[in-house]
Amino acid sequence: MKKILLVCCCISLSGCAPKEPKCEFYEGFSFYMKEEHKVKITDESSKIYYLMPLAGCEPCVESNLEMLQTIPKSDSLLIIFIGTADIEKYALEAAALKTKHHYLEDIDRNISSYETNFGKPLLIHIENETCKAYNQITDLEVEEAKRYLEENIH
Amino acid sequence: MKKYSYSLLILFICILSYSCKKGTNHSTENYTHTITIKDSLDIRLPGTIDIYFFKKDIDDDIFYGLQKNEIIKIDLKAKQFIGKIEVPSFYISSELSSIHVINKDSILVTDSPISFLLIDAKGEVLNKYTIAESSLLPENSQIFTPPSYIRLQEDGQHVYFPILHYAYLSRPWEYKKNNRIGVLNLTSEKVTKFIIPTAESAYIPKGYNYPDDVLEPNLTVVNNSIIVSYPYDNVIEVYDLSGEFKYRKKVSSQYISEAPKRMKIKTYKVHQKRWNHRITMPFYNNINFHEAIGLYSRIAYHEQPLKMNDGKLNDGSKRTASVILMDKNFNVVGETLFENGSLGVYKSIPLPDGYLIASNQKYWKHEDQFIFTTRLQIEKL
Repeated sequence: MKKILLVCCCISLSGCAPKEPKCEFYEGFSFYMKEEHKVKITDESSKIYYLMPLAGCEPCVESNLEMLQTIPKSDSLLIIFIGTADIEKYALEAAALKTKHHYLEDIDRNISSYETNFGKPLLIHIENETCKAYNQITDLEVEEAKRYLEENIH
Repeated sequence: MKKYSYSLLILFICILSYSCKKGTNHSTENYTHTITIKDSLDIRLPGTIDIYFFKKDIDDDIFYGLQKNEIIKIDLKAKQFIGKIEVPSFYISSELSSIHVINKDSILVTDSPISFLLIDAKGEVLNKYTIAESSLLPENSQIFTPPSYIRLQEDGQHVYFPILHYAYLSRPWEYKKNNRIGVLNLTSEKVTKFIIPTAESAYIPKGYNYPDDVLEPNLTVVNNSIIVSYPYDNVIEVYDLSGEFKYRKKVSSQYISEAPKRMKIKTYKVHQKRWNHRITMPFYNNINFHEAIGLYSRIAYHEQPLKMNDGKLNDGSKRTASVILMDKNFNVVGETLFENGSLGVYKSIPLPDGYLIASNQKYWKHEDQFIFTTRLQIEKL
């Protein structure tokens, strides 16, 4: 009887456990994609969405734009450019990325109406309707993001 | 019997807590002033305005505002755009973001988060002050880090500006004793001192925080006094020009029943949660003095839900706000409510007898519109 109670207790506790914090904003992102880009993110078996601001934290923007240039084109990578670039260099780099990768644009920053945790670049990986990664990529994390992309796009 | 006693006790507690809540509101019966709409403006500007850097000031009835890196002038009486002052771009370190008109030939504008320019009516730069330069700082200053932006107030000789230390943003409880206002002497061209620590009422306990932008002290320099307040706090503190404390007073909006809730630092660290908190929390704006009628005022922006009916985050288009009117001793003499985003957040310019206001941006009609379309007047009841 005690064992049964213990098991019940464990099950109920695990039910109360918070969702994986890294994917806490998955629903907000899904809502954003559906409303603003008419994209149902669960339709693809595996896709990495790279949310790329063109203004704001300059080291983040610069390092991420440069890193994305080194990544080969893939059907499983979609870059979403957000806002407009005030700095000409970033505008040129973004233009170059658009000729290379699949991309969407959110020029008016409509993403700010959704709970996505967007502020700095975000790498979001959805596989088989499950959120595998939801990471903010500052200049400090850009090398790690590069490795993740190389390992997970095909 | 025991059950009956418990019921009675609960009823008593309910009555007590209800009456305590009522007690926090000031009586509206004593109101002597209100605000009415005096005029509507429909002014078009050349080019599209850059709304975010569009700020005050008033010199007679001429409004000086910033439009990108130029100063534009609007005649409020004639209700028309009357020209612009071009500031040579090579003087501008970053971008013009706040303006304070001392007189027609002495206009202070910030040109980066750490520097400001003194320019004349023709746009000639008379001086440039870079407050992060060591030559401008007092020798014993070790605490200085650049503020996020500067709000200038002057008394003719000194410029007072709030300081927001970067370190303060993440651990405010460690810096509560640090002075929050810098003083630049325009004659010696040096930052002569830092004065006025955080008000006790605005202390943030260890492990908690507020969103970044409401941490900055608001200040007003008027009548030989420095009036300091914090957006998340309902206490007004008054100091003399040397930074000596004179008195404090609690002034609450009747529409804000309790102080804005703090966030746990764990919440603060997540960008989205910080922003969610910012969307919903009530907060207060700067204290303004209306010299033509001798009253102070403070705008209160009320609490609002996180999301709208369509599931998107609240854009503030329905947010209610109110203007609290106070006499020279900060006794409340009126509070006027503005509903449905008619008084946009940070979209107000104090005038000697009222305000110039803009609505929430959802209601702006034209791209080249001077967004401040409503002139308010404070009146006796």
